[in-house]
Amino acid sequence: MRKNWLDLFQQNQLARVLESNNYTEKFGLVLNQQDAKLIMSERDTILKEQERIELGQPIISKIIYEFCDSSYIQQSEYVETLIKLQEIFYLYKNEMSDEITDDELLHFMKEQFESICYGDLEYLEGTVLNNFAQAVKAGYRDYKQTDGYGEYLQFDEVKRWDYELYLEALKELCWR
Amino acid sequence: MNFKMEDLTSIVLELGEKLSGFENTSISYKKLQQLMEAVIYCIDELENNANDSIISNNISAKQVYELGYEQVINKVKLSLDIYNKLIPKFNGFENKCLIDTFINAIPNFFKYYDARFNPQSTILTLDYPILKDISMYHGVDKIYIYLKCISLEQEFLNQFHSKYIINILYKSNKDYKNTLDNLCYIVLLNLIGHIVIKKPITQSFEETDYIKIKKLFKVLDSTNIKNMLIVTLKNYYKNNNELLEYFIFAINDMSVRIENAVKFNCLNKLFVY
Repeated sequence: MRKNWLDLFQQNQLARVLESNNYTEKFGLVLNQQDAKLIMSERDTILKEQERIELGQPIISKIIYEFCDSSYIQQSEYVETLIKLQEIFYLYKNEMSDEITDDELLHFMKEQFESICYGDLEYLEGTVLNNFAQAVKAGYRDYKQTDGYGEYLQFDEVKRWDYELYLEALKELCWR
Repeated sequence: MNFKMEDLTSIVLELGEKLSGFENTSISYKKLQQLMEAVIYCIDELENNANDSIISNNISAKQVYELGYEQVINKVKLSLDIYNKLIPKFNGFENKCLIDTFINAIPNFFKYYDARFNPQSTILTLDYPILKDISMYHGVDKIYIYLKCISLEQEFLNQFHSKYIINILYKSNKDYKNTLDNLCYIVLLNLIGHIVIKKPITQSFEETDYIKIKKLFKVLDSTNIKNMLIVTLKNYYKNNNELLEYFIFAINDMSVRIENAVKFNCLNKLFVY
């Protein structure tokens, strides 16, 4: 009875992950049954590593819907990227001592993945999220008002691209 | 009451969902452990405080937990009542530790105590030491007992004139304002000294008094001194059982100190005024 219930629960979770294909295929991203199983089994490992349990809906569904329109994710590395994003997500849920909600963290991750990291997951994990987590640990809570959007620049230690300077240099080069 | 782990786990998961406000799909083991402790604390609270008629055999774990939670809430109210009654007549006798703990720290307990998700947390360190060992208690249980003890101490100390108490404290330790000792202990020890040699407390000890005290205790070991102190206090506080029971916690320590003071001829360090 107990085993049947667990099987049913796992099947239901797999179905939910596969259901996301209906939405993601327009971005050229699709998961097959095996991919979904691999992602779920990696999730179990990560949850054990990070000492967490999932209460209901798997976070991977939310990750898929959040990241599927990214121009930096291709079908060829779709599964690996999802697994890594899942791992980073749980790592920083713990790092920020659950002070941040799932949606706030996902919004933050997606925005930086696109605009600061240009698809570099290592930079997202090792630098961007690390800087932000330190601020959250120190008591920063303004992301509650912004839902995690537009938060990183104030913690960024790197001088980013200056568009005005770029345009000025371009004008000079072209008109010389 | 013996419940299966599954029964408690379902309550814990329900609490976990409430705690995360349905905004998080996962929860850490650490938080789960805290919630499990919260559930067990509430169940224990019911077992320890409710009468048997409330707890029937057919009652579910969830119902026991909810009844226990109500008991916790009641105890918070009782503790707050004790605190509010005590505040108008509270006297800290210029001791920073007592004043800080009672006036500044205790209100924070009532402000931050979380009966639903973390009832086992006492929040405070309760720096002012009381005579009773309450290290085995947690959460509101600890605060409730602590406040009752402070209440008894205030009842005892307020029997005397404030200047008299401060005089004893000063003679015992010139830095009495910053001491981390229990004030009641020092005053009680002096009171016992006066009782055993039948001297009015308004008169301070003289050299002849120390000789009398020495003569009295010299023939006794710490166990006999302890018995003698218990009898003395029982006679003196026969109408106040609560206070008597509270003072008994200090007797062990007092008897050893008296035995040593007799042995090393320094009774004047114990019986100061």
